[in-house]
This record gives sequence, structure tokens and C-alpha cells, in this order.
Amino acid sequence: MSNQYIFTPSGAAFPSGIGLKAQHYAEILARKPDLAFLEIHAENFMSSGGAHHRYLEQLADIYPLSVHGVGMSLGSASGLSRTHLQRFKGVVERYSPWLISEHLAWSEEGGFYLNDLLPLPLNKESLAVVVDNMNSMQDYLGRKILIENPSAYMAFSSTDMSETEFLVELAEQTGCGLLLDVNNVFVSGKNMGWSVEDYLKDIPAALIGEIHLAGHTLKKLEDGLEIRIDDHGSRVAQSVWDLFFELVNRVGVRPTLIEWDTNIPSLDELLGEAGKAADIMKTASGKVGANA
Amino acid sequence: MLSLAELQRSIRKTIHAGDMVEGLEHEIVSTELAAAARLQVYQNNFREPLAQSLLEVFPIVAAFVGGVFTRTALRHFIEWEPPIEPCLSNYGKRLGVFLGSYAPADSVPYLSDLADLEWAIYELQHVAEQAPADEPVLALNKNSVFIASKFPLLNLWMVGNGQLRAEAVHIDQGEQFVCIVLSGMRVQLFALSQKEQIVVTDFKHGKLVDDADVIRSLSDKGILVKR
Repeated sequence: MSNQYIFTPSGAAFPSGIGLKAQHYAEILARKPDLAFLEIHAENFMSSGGAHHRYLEQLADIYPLSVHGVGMSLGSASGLSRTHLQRFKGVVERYSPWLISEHLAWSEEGGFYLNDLLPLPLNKESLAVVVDNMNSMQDYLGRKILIENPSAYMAFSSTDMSETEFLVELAEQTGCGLLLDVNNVFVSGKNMGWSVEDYLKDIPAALIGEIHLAGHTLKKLEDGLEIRIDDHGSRVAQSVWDLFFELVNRVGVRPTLIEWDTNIPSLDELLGEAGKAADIMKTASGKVGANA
Repeated sequence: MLSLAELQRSIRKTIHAGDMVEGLEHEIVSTELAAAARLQVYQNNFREPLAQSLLEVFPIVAAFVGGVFTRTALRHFIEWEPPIEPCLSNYGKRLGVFLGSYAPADSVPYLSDLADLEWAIYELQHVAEQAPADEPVLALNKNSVFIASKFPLLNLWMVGNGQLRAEAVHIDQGEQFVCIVLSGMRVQLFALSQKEQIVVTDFKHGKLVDDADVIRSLSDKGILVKR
């Protein structure tokens, strides 16, 4: 099993990519935009055939792929679904991705799937569960996994560790890396009332194998309170770009993905966001150069 | 304090049912925003994307009964049969069964068959097509689905997507035996004749068939293939 978390697609000094959406398959193939990589949701490619696979097979010849899972339920007390592991492995074997990632979350219980990334209480009991499940997944796939910090709207009274302590401990015990979603840090921090800046400073640079950026919505509730919803349906917020700049400035360049999963924009708008990420990597890392 | 397994069971039940399971409130940290409001976000995150993805699979059902009716029906369907696996490409298969006994849809008796037809199209769009074999033995295409409807199902579907005008179709036009088949990387739909229906049934039951014209017709449609 490789211990390399940090990958650099060949020729991409400032590796920004986009989440692949069906609406953009044909246009990406026709235009071949300058992107370091594409990310797919594993669950969208678990069928045996069809147009999705025909397009992805062509795209995989052009771009490195990152396979991002949303349904493994690494936080389930009842363990992982063997069927889902097999299907996930099928996607990995079919497309040989550069990166594989999943979430610090749970979504399966009692034979039901909740179609969402639910938060965990952060304590020794849940850490043991996630460590076991992460080891099972990595052993089954024979690959190192990056785990993504979730966006959260609630916390539990049984929590006695910070999320960063939990993630660092998880990485130490399993050898996994971290997919740091800066938007999720911002959304969770604002919703739960903890310091976003401290969170980012507490993550060791060496653990970060990929960065995610996305848009979110500020929802006003009836009683005047606010909650931020991680809906991946708009441009990245300026506050999140600022955090990304500070992060790259501290940890250096990392493969960075723009996620946009609802209200899908034009490819040009999505590429514009990926271009911003690449530019920020340039300036924040001090590697600016220009032609006159 | 609940164990992790108990906590997850309580949250899952709350998300499915809508009402908070007793004891769960004490497990969730409430600041200005109460536990119920925080859980509501997850309840919405569970139902709304599911309903949206089902709407994308069943556009013709929605075209016939409207978005509001469809969204309500889908919400009830999600309660009736919540997902059991993360691979959601299998979720929605039984919407037709659900609509068949869904009282608010009683005045639209063909809705259940339309849902079955749309599901068949969706399903066949996501399977790998079998390569033709050299063996000259004919068999039913494995990537074919047959729906025996009491209604002019294919005509109704064509009205729903604008291929036929509504004035040209009446539900009293009678039954249709519809085949949905993946052939040549395309999903095609056919209303089969009575003779074709008999031959298909005979093939299903392994009977010998010697009606050359009908066999040729079904082969041309990709419904019978060499295996």
C-alpha cells in the first residue's frame, strides 16, 4: 500500500480541478480545458454501463481522476456494507484513480441509507469505530484514503475531542490522509460557534492531500437566527477564498477541487472558479511569474 | 448517554419519521439554535435531494400530474420505502407499485404503468450492452423489458414528452404491450402487435416458434438477438 498522500498531476504546477457533472461531459471532451484533474462521485459510476461510463472512459484518457465516495458511512457503528465496498472497488479497478477519498460521517443504520453525511460525536468510542472502518476500507481497496472533514449543523453532548484532534488521531492510527474542505470548515465553524482560523492552523500540513472548495447558502430562520447550508450550489464565498489563501500560504500548493453539485453552472463559470483557485495557489505560494 | 449505535438509531428514526425520538434532544448540543431546528436541516437534506433525483427519473409522470402532485407523491413514496443502499441508481424501481395503490392517483389509473415504463428506460440507460454472439440461436435480448398495460401506454408516454399531441390519444384506445429495449447503444420503445406479443411470450417460456415474419420483425427491433 502506498504511503503517498500528496499527488501532483504531471505538468500541473498549480493543480486545480473540478467535480465532473454530466451536463459538461461533451463540452469537456470537445474543448479539453486546462485542468489538473476531474473528480467523480463513486456512487454515480456503480452501474455496469451506459453513457456515463462511455464519457468517463474517454475523459479518463485525458485527465487524472479522483474518486470521491459519499456513501461508505465510515462512522457507522454497525460497520461497512460489504456490497458497497465491492461496488466501490469496482469503480477503482475500472478507472485507476490518482486519489480516493471519503467522509468523516455516517449515513447507514439498521439497513437504511440516509442519503446525507451525518455528523458523529467525537470521542474514543466513535474514533475506534472510524479507525476500524477506515482500516477495512483501505485494506479492501489496497489504497490509502483521504478523509474529508464534514460540514455540520449539530454537535453532541458526548463529544470530548475537537474535530482536528479526532482527524489527526485517525490519520496516525490508520495512515490515511486528509481531504481538507475549507468551505466545510467555514460552514461548521460558523454554525457551531468555533474558530475557523484555529481549526485550519491545527491541521498538520503533511496530512493534507487534497483541498475542496465550494459555495454555501446563508439561511435566515424565522427567529432571526442564521444557519449556513453546504449546498454546493453557488460560487465560493469570498471568506472561503481568503481562508484558502491563508492555508496555501502556510501549507503550500495542494490539488484543489471546485465542487458545484446543485444549480449546475456553465462549464465556463466552473472553470473560472478553478482558475481562481490556481491563481491563489500562485500568489499565496509566492510562485508568480509572467511574460511581458 | 446513548451509545453510538443507539444514537445513530435515534437519529435515523427521527429523520425518517419527522418527530424527534424521545431522549435524543439531550444528546444534541443546543445553543441559540435548538436541537429540533438543527435536525430539521438533516431531514431536509435527506428528502429534498432524493425527491429531486426521482423527479429527474420520472419526468413524464410529473408532466401528467404536475410538479406539486408529483413532489407530494414522491415524499410519500420516500416515507413508504426509504433507500436501503448508498447506490441510489436502484432507488425508485418500485414507484410504479406505490402509485398503483396511491389513493390520490386513483383518477390517473395509467400513472403506475408510466412510472414502470420510465424506470425501464432509466435502468436500461445504465446497463452494459451485451455484444452479439456468433451462435445463430435466437433469444430474447436480456436488456429488454415488457409492460402489458391496459392503457395505450406508449402513446401516453409520447404525449408526455411532446412526440404526440394530446388530442390524438384517449385512454379508452385500449391496451398496449410495450417493449423497452437497449440495442445499438440506444434505448428504444415499441408497441408490439398481438402476434409479436405471443412470440415474445413463447420465447419466454422456451417454446419453439416458427413464425418467420414475426421473428424477423422482432429481430429488426433488437428484441430477439443471437446468443
